[in-house]
Amino acid sequence: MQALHPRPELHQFCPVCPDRPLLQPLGFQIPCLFTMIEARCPTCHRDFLVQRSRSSAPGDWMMLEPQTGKVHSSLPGEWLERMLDWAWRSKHDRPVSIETITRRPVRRPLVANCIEYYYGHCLGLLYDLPNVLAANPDRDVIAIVQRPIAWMVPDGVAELWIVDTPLSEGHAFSSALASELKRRITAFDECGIDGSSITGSVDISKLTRIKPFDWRAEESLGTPVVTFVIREDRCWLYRARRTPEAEIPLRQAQIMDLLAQGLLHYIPGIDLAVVGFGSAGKFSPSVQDMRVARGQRPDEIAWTKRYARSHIVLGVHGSNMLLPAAHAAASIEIVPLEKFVNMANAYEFISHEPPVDAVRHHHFMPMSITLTEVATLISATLHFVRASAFTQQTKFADQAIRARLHAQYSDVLRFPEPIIIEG
Amino acid sequence: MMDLLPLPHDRFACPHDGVALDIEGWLLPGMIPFARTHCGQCRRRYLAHLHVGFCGHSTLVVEESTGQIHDNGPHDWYRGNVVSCMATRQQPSAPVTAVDAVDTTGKDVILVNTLDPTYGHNLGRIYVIPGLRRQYPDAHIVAIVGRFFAWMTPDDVDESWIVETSLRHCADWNDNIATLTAQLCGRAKRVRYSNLHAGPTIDISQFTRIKPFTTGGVEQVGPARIGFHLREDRNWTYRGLPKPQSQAIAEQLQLVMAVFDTLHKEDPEIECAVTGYGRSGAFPDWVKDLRIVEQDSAAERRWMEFYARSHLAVGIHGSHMVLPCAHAMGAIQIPLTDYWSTSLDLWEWVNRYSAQEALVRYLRVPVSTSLSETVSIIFTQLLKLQQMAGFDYLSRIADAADRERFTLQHHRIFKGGYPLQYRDHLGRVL
Repeated sequence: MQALHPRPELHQFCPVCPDRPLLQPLGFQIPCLFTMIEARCPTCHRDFLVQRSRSSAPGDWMMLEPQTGKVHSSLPGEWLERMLDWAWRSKHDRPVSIETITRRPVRRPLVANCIEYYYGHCLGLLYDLPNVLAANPDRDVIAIVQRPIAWMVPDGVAELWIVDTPLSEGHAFSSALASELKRRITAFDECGIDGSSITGSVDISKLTRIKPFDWRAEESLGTPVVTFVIREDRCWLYRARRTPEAEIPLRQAQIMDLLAQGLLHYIPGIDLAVVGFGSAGKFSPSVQDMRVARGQRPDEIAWTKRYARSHIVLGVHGSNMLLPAAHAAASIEIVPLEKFVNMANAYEFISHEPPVDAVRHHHFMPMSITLTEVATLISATLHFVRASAFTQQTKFADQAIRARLHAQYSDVLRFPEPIIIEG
Repeated sequence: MMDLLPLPHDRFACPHDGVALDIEGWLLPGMIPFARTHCGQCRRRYLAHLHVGFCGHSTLVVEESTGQIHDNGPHDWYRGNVVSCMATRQQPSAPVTAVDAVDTTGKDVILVNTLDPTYGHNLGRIYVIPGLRRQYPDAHIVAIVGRFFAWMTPDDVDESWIVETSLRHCADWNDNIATLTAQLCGRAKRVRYSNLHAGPTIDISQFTRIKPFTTGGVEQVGPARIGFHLREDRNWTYRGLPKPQSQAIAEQLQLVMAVFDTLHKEDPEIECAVTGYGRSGAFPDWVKDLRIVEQDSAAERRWMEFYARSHLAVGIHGSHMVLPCAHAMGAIQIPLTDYWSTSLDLWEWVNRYSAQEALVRYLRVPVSTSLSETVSIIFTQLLKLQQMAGFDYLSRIADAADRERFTLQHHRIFKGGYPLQYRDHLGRVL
């Protein structure tokens, strides 16, 4: 925890003066995803807005000069520095409304700024809230969140300040938001700030209140359940085929349906569904279509319950795959080349898994993977998951139960053959 | 584990009339552990595979008079090993050397038989030893290993029987092993036959005596080091297209060189090496060629020393990749489509990391992936691993100015990877 009000905590040197004097903290502002400490150099008298780091490596720092907009940082040219520069250049004074949900009275407040531009980063910040609560039992935590993730703010948080800023504007300096949050925070005698996007582990059910895939349930040995997660702003371009842009979502749906048909043929009884934002194309009648059109509000709870029943979720890499992967037993992400650097970011929800199981259950595949290979990987992963569930359920079961499970489900131990699908 | 004295604690039924077979004793003529049995009703004699290892959940008996095999389901490949064993019964047996042999009179002996013509199964079988030592600290552990595998025998073993055989002939009938086990059983108080279960975590350095890549120092950050572990009986061909073996070998070398060339253009400081078995092709001076043709334990150890200093081990999937992956900081395996189900077998050593770190360090790239995509993923992964080593080093620098200096010096690493394109001589992107 850091003090935020009445005197913000700061230990940062002036980036301009050669003798690097310590900056003097003056106040704070939360205009967007950045929490900035207002500070002044005692030597050159320049003003700075110093970013309160919530994810950087040890020793990293970043600040800007409000007079000039110049950004200083320990990692010049890095994406976060560019983001701060962009955030400052996007500053606006449009009104912002904040809805307050009070779960219990707030006496000693501690704010956690969970505003973000990327959905995945939002989740990363939410992951840390249970840790913030545990580390500050004498505090009443206020979560500052955007509407799409408000449903996942964990129990124990005293108050939610739901900001109506869309994710796509979460980066932009908003003077209205800064002044309203300052007004609210300075109304308290004192206030701290905490929260980080670096979390050791996370129990995802503390956020969604939905229990992930149950390895000990007998259903995990039964019907294979696979869920495709679709988005139309980033599509699986099968084998990177050249496709007119307008047709890309349709082609993606067609290729996923072809995959579905192959799975239905080779894995009799498989339960398939498609979720996500999109409406292009039609899926075979045996595939449950749970998609909603872009712009429509989804039933997140129904989707998440579906993930939690799934042996495997499959989709193009993106933060939209995090909740599916966190709840299903296994996941396959098809990763655009430029996104391999972000692979497994915000996957802290697997921290409870033995690592050798994690590498067998969670896969990152390139776009040019063939349908045959995806289908075979699905089949191999189903084998891993169900064999693992079988072992867990039989290991400590009494003899009668073990004998029954062996008689009924021992075929899950059989190594699967490759699945051939012409694409 | 199965107790073998006074008679194996096992049960079998006569395949002809279903009557319980009478067990007379047991026999270990190499890889396959048999009980000597006969049927009290029809008087037929059988060698019955003990219910251990890959035959733990199925039954296989060999009718001695006819050689006919009766079984209810071990995998075909395993059944093939029994066929090989019986077919070589009349051939001369490979010599066996007992190392550190002691008088086992009155001892509690555990036999760990690692012999198997599949390399990975040798590994899987030897993995059990440290766990056995923990569980049975006073037992006398005897490991039966092929000469090619003897260097991997862990210190937990009390006695080794080194069989002068090649991997390919591991299933062959061996009277010398049968004799040694018979002598052992005559003296020991108790003899048990180890099963295959290895336990949750493997420390690979207990076998190779080489510490895997560890971050922390500046020398672990750079230069980038990558090794391709090759084999010529299973090759990486362009997009996995099937080719005759000689063409496939040549194409694999071209692809490896294409990867190295592309990486070298991006980072002239990179250290590249090829390891494994093979002699085909030649590499430029800046690629270390550590390949061998004949099995050589010293050379295999040198490979692992190289991987223990490398950021990335790359190769077509196979059990030959287990040790390089286990020693390098990270790995990229290229599995053939038939091998997805087994491509992470024997990876229990990965438990030394957190689950998320393991996911980040180890990737599999399908064989059908384009060359440009493969090389881009290798490049990105290499930088990512260097970056992880860099962050670890940074966290140990106390002085902020030193940290800044280091960060700026290694800016290329912290910036991360980006897509690359590989073009053929006609300028086409492959």
